[in-house]
Amino acid sequence: MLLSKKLSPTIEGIVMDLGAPKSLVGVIIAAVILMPEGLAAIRAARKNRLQTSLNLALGSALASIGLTIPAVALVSIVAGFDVTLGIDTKSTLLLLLSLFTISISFNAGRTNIQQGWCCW
Amino acid sequence: MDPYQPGDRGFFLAFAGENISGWMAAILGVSLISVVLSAVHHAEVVAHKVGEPYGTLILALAITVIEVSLIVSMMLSKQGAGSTTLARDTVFAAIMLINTGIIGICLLWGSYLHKEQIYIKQGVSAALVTLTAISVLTLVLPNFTTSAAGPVYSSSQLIFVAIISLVLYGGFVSVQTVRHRDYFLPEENEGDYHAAPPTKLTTAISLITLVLSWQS
Repeated sequence: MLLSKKLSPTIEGIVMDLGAPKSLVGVIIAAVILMPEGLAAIRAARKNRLQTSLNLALGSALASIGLTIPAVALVSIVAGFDVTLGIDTKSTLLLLLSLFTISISFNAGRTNIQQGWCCW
Repeated sequence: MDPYQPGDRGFFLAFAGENISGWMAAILGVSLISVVLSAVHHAEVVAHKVGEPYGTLILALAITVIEVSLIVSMMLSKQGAGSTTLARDTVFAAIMLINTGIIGICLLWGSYLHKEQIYIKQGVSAALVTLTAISVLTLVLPNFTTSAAGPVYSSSQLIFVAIISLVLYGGFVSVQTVRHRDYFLPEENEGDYHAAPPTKLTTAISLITLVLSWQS
């Protein structure tokens, strides 16, 4: 936590210097945090243990949103600043598309390569 | 402040932000990543000891603690424009990375090697329905509420949505660990399933290191 506090202006500085949108900071954090989970999930899928992969992947997605949002909400109310939650229209569409394709893919009970291409 | 010149040393120092030099920042960055990696490794050891489905739960909780502490410390340290959207950006990025990236690669690689892969429909369905409900409620609905203009919730709405998220996530965890544990247990494959579980000592060391790494 101390490390991240020191580093946060640095990450923001890099992102700003590159002229990238500010939201890239969030993407970097998410990518760093999810990397080990993702690798473990892919390893499990290669060993034909898709259930473990899905437990890992969906479990982290759920914990990430289901616990981060309440925690941030609490902090924002206690510390008294606004927290923006709504994503823009394009992101909404992408989110719904990803949820929709995943839901259809996992409707069959078993997956084949076409669902892999589509989800990816 | 002064304009940064890309390509020379000033540009590199510019990465340093306010009060640390470039090398220091690079060292801190590497150590941050290694702390995250080692925290997750120790969580994996503990997870291996307790077995499924608690194992994946511990892993998920471990990364979420790291994530929340990162976001909260960044929000508190810099209450300017931009940090108000950090939580949203991170959560949205995490969901999109998992939904399309990780699951996509898993399905693609897995099905390339094994043609068809099976899983337990009920468990995945429970996870997906929870994910859909929470994500639309927290990330899409604020755009359409009228109590507060713009993509934000008013305080009372925020509290309500926070409680709903906790209830839904808690419900999912109880389904995963108590009521329908079998939906989440992997089929035992022949042979290569698991290495021997770690000893109690290793687990204890990992647990302590895990807590320590959260502090750093």
